[in-house]
Amino acid sequence: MSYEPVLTARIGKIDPASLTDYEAHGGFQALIRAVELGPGRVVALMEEATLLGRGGAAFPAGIKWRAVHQAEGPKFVVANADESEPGTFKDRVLMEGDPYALIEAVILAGFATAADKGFIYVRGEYARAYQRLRHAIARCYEAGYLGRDILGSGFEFHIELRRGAGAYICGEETALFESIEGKRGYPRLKPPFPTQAGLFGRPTLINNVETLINALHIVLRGPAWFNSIGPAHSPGPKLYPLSGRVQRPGLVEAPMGITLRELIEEHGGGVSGSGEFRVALVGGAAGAFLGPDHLNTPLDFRSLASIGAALGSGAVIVFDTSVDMKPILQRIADFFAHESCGKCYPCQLGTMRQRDIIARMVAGQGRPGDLQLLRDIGQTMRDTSICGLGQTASNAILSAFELKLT
Amino acid sequence: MLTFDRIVPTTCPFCGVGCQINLHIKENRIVQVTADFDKRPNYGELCVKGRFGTDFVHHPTRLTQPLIRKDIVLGQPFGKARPARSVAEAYREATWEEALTLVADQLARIAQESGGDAIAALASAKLTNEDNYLYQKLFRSLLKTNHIDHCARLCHAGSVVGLMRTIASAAMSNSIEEMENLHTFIVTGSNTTYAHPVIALKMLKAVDKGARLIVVDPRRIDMAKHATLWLQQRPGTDVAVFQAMAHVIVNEELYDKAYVATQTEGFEAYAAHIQRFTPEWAEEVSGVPAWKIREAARLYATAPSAAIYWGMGISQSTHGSDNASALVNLAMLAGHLGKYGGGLNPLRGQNNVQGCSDMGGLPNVYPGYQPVSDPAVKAKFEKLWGVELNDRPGLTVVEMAQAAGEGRIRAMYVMGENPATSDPHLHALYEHFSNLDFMVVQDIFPTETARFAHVILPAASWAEKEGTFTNTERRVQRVRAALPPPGEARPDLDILQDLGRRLEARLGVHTAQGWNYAGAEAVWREVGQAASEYAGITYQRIEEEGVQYPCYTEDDPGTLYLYKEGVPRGRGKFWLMDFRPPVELPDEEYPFNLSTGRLLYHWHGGALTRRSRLNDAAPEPVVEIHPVDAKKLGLVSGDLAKIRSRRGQVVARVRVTDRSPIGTVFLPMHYAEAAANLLTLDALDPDAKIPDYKNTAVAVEKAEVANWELVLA
Amino acid sequence: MTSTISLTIDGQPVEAPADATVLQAAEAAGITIPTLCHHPNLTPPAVCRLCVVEWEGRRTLQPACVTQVAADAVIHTRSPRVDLARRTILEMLATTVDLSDAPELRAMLAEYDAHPERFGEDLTRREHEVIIDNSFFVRDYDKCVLCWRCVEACGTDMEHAFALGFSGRGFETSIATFFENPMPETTCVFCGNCVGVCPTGALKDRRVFELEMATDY
Repeated sequence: MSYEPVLTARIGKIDPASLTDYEAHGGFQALIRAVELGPGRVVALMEEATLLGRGGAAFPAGIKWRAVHQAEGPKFVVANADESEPGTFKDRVLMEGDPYALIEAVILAGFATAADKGFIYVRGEYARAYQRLRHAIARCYEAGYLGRDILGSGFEFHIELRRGAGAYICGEETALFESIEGKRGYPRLKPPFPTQAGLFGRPTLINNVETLINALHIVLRGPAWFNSIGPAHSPGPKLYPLSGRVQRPGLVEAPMGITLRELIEEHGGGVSGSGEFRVALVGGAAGAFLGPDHLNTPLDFRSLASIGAALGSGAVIVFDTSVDMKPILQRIADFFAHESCGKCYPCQLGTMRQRDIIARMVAGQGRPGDLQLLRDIGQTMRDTSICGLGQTASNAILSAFELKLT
Repeated sequence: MLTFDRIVPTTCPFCGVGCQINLHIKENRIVQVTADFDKRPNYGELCVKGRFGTDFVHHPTRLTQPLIRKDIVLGQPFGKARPARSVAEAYREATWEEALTLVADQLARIAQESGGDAIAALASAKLTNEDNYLYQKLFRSLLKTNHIDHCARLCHAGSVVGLMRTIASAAMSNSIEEMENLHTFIVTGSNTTYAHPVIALKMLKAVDKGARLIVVDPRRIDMAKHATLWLQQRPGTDVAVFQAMAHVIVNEELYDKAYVATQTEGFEAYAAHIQRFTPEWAEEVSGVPAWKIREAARLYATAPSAAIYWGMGISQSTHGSDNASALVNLAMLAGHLGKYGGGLNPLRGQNNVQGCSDMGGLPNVYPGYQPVSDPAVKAKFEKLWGVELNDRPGLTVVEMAQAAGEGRIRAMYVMGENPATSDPHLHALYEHFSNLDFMVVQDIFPTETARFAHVILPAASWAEKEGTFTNTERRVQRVRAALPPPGEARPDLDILQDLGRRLEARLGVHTAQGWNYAGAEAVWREVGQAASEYAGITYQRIEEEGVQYPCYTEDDPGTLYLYKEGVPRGRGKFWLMDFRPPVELPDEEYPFNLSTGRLLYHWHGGALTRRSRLNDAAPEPVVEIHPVDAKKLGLVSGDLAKIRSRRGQVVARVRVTDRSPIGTVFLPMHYAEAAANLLTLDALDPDAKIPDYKNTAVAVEKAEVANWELVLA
Repeated sequence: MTSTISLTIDGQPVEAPADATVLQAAEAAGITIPTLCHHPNLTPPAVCRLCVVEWEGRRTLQPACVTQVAADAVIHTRSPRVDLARRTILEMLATTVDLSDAPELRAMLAEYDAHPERFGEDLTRREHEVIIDNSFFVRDYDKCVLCWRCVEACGTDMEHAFALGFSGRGFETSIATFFENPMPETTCVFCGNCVGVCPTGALKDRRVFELEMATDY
């Protein structure tokens, strides 16, 4: 099956610092087209394309664009570039290799929704992405893609680049807003949703970097092209960050819905280490472990949800049979205990108790009821946490016990 | 966990907000104060004074025994009042019999020798309605004197006159519960976050919800931080700003034409009169930019409803009544009277200053503001009390002292007040008091005033007696006995009745009711007979939550806001006035303006809060000086400074801050060791007889020694 | 005027204003839902999650204190899922902080048959020194359940002093002043409204604290 990469097409081929190089390779064509079409038509295209949010929540992007398009200003567009999920590096590759694309996408989203300002919130550790974006934004102001009367449309738009400070929680969209507003990165209660009251309490379109880049191609190539790729229920190109025990780890662009087996064998060159597949962590620390039984499961939102897993960011970490899983579980439990913001009790307490219990199990001092405790904690966190962090903080661990990995 | 012997609901003894509190008692000590979250007016919110400052009740200096000057022998002549260095050295403990015999003998003797007009009495904004009612009744019915006044004279007299002569009503028109829902409001001359903290919280909630706040104040008070507009006028130029606002409202035709036409009088003359008070003129005079005056006028006049709140900065001035009348003019122009979220709202400073005035603790009126000079009123009270009464209005606070100095007043009875810190120009006051033939102080502490007394009577504190307070929004609320009084201290009502019985015997005068009331509630029932606006309020009704007067019958829900049916005067009168500068302006010798006022942690003369743990938060007198002035004077924060006026000098710790404008220094009023009133002058507003506490010319210089142990100079 | 809607709570048909919360609708119907961080005078932070209820058709349990009712909703305030969540949260709380001054919470533990001891002994706890830095109140964060009430009372819900905030993160979060400065060096005005809303005795009048220290009460 031959698939021509779209999202990553320019990466490695152009000078990421060069605006002229970007323009020479199709850059800003989507924005020019959008200005010709007008905001209403662009939003309609976004609705026609079944673009499910690539940050992991899989919310239809078109609905958000429509809602913000219709809302009263002032309003904002925010690119969520706080890519922090372990094993995930797709947005990093996009921003480092093709920074102008993200800027074009944010301007396009701003134009379509008649927003007043855009923010790009970049993970603090992504120093190179930040530098490249900063340079690119300055170049875009010089070239007139940002500022007043963009492309003669009369549309004025500005982008502010923000860096995170290392907190996983700030990738949660409402915590991200709080962070931009200068507050502690605590997730907000929903409702209200960002499209109603987001950044600074105003209607806000917030999309993941990959989602925004997809919008460029939807405008250029049309929703029919987009919907023809991959399964009808969750179509489009998808980036799969592949890591762990594979021969060729790296970022894979493929049609949505390739199988785990295809990903590992065709794109990753097969399992490394012992050479024998044991398990893969799909969706990062917030995702779940999939064993050999699921090597043929398509990696798309619906198929994974149907088996109680989640695609999440698309990250896949592969483990071969030689890996001791205990420290892996400890690492995951430590991660959530460390990254929980502490706002709601189930996550604040649950992530720590999960860590405590895993620690004693790993040390061989587990107690008879410990697995039940982990299940109770997991269900409580999943059922009652405010945000996705707590709701998913037990997924990987509980799935590991289901697969009897320890 | 601590358990409590009992929890007694009562009313906070500090400011006029009248917060409802619960005293948690263990072994007859207040160990904790809480508030119910569902109870008006504070809904569970308190400030530092209410929550943590009631421990003054247990202070070791509480008076527990009647005290008589050591040089007095019963039946023998004795010297005039003069300040004792120390209560412990100058007084001896006495029995109640001895002390009250002496008081009754002396008051009766002086009344018989010189007439009741030789006796003056200070009622108290600290004490209950019942205490004050009985107090003024005692002096009016038995001693035939109307020289009754209290410290409202020194706080809101300007407001009262300014309001009475224009709309004929002086209470705060609207209510605390409206404050959270204001649309637009003006706060002027009120450092609300310090003086009425819980009210400030309600106002800030309104601001959070989008209300527009206009602060008119020379000082950068906390409210200014939250203001839509802050008009920082030069001290004493309030009238200029308000008149210019009126100028804008009239000339831009923003006034409520229907209201002005149907509810007011004198508009034409007023509109003509204010033509010269342009915003540009006011900018010259006050330093407030004309554009800000215009914006403030537009915001206020075009709001659907807008309230004005003010405090001492308006009233305590030799043109205090003009300041208040200028505000009345604005409210009438905009038609913001008789509306929810509107009105004219003088914020009352003391826990029961509203009630003390209501109860007739004033020289010219009986309870319910019924003039003593009105023959019909006189007849009514003569009938009610069954005695002949005096129809000559009496002297006011400062006048009383001055009359004592001149020998016209021979005896003075002070109940729960402390003029020796709160009156202006204290050196003069000390002289005046020293000329009294007889002076009684009835209090819970040996105050600065008590040192002049021949007899000191120990009273129960607010936590040791029953009664009611009336808060700033006219809400009559219960005060309950949570503790027994210490030693032989007695509730004021008991003392007054004991004295009443003795005076009746000596003077041969007998009131209809006698002096054996069944308790505070019985006194309150008589208040309802004396003034109908309280007739509907019974102890039973206010058991859980207070009721706002006017409340004429028991099924009357009380009054949330006044003037719905128009102002009591019928038509409100536009008051014409010119701008008058303060009496004493800075000059070469005394180059700074001194403003006095309050701190958050202390209260009034400090008699209570200096004796509570509140004192830990503000233990010594601090003078606030602007950085520009401090630099010139070579002062830094922490230095000592001597502040000198034409009348006296004090030493205070320096705090360099831009809270006050350049050229103005600020000294709190709470510290006897650096009594601000040693400096202030006793020039009075011609109508309200209120002194100016905000404008005194002073010189400031570095000092080396604090010398704070010498309380009396 | 808001319209009235009908829904079902615990099998009982209930009418409620359309803008009511589930908690308000349940209370009006005489159904008690346990709460901890919720305080009638404060903005509900909805952090304790003890008031969660099961709403048929919704993925997660819903915090009753902030979730608005909807027409025809079918809600269960007690169910195995709800009880498991409440019990687990209470157990985890009891293994983390000192609840000796929180009788309501201890009663809740009993009501939900909570057994904190099943979590074992070797657990991370939150431990702090008592902070006595002013004459008015003490802060004993061993007893703090992080309900946020004090922070809200110090902020826009009451005092607008903004002296209290947070330090640390996750399990290690604690209520703190800016840079953990002593209270007198902050914007605190010692109104004690934080003390008034504290449900667990973490904030306490200094006089009460000293009496407790000095006696056997």
